[in-house]
Amino acid sequence: MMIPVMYALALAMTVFAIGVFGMMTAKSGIRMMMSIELMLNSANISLVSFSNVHNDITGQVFALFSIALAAAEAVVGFAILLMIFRHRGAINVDTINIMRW
Amino acid sequence: MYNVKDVMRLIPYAITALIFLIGLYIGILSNTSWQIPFKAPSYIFTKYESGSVAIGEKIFTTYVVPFEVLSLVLLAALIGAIYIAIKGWRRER
Repeated sequence: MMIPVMYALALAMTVFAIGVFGMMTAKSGIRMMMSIELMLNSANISLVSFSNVHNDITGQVFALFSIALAAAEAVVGFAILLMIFRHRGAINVDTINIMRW
Repeated sequence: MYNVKDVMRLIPYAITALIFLIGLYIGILSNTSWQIPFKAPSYIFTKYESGSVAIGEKIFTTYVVPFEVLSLVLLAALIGAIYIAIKGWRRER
């Protein structure tokens, strides 16, 4: 069974738009990280769908690499959020200004 | 906290942006030729019995250097995260 590439790309676009919206309207650090993960996963969806269409396995290999890099990014982001929470007692991103110069 | 009146004032702009975005999606998806092959490929890759065998062989032959670099990246992220967490924990006690 072949899924048409249009549907997979429309799904990827929709998930990316949801991620951008959540990223721009986030007040909590956790929600910001969740939106970043949504955007990365939409890129993975498009990689896998093009790999399926062109019958080439390289897209799925790079999707696996992308998943691992997303894990590393989540680790660093949550460590920073943890440090900010210990400093401030809150991770409300509207009030965080310790990284401004 | 946001004022409700300010948010209500922004709704027409939001609807305009949404319509623009949906039109952009439909235009891009329908006007781009995605270079789909003439003959639809089989879902199961012909050389192997399953896809994961092909992925594993590709990772450990062609892309073995990015794989090793990726392990270094994960190790660096792990060490950095533990360093940040331990530093805050010691200052707290």
